Amino acid sequence: MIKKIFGFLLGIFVLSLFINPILAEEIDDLNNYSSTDFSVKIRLTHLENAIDLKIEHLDTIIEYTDTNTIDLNTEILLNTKDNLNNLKEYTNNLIEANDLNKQELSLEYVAIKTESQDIIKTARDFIIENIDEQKRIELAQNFKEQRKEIKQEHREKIRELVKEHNQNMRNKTMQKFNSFKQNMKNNENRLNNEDFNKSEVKMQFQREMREENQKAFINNKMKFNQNKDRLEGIQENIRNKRMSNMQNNSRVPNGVGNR
Amino acid sequence: MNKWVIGIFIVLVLIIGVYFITSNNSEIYNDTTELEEFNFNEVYSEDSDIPGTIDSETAENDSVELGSLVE
Repeated sequence: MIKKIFGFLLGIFVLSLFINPILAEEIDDLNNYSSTDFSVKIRLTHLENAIDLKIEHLDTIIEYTDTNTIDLNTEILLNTKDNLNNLKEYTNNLIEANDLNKQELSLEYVAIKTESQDIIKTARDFIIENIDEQKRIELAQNFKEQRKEIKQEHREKIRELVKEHNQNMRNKTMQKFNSFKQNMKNNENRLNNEDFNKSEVKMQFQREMREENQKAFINNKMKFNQNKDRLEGIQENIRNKRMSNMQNNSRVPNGVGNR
Repeated sequence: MNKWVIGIFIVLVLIIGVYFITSNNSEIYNDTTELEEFNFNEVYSEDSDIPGTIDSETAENDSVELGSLVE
């Protein structure tokens, strides 16, 4: 057992040497949600919620500049809002899609998050340049008073995804359990051993499940690492869709997310 | 009288024998019925939750990770 734990830790260490440090944090985060497609979609819904919150913050800033007669080109803020709305819609389409596996969804998640961070950074630089510090502190205070919870519509979506995830996990576990039972039945020597009782059988199944989870954890990291070259392509794709939407529609958000 | 004692003795031996056989069978893994109860329903039930799925801390962390618009 100690050897297996040591081997697992060593495997993680070796893998971490090959993984881009910027991505490592995302991979760890996603690994906690990567048991099923549905659990990755939960993380995508979190991201959609965070983008939605930033859109609300932008509305607050635009309203604040209007009421405080701050001389600011709000066109740039409105463009940022459109860009975020496009990303939000793109994310929502991914959540509703049925043709992507968890690896693909994970890559899309990282690409959307990075793109959102870039858009927000550009807007932040513009805001810092054009709104003085005192007013920005006041705005930051306003944000703190805004909602912190996950929006109701996203909560409901997450609850549905949790149900589907649980159903999926239960089916998978039962399948493994049935095959485990069959193996036990086939192994007459073990069944005839009087010391081999039910509680030991349960423990052994739990042990096998734990080992399988550890393998899946490493496997997920490896697959993610193998596919990370595709990340730039996905980001480029998102950016192109966003840009073409901006050109076709002057600022009006418009279903960019059609994949 | 002896016949009664022998009869009761035989019945007792039979009862104890049946008890041991059945209790032993339930301990040794030769029947999957009870294992069926170990079906993880308590772990992956319809209502079970993935930690952090709808809590405000997750929402705040995600918002922080995207970056502030003003600072």
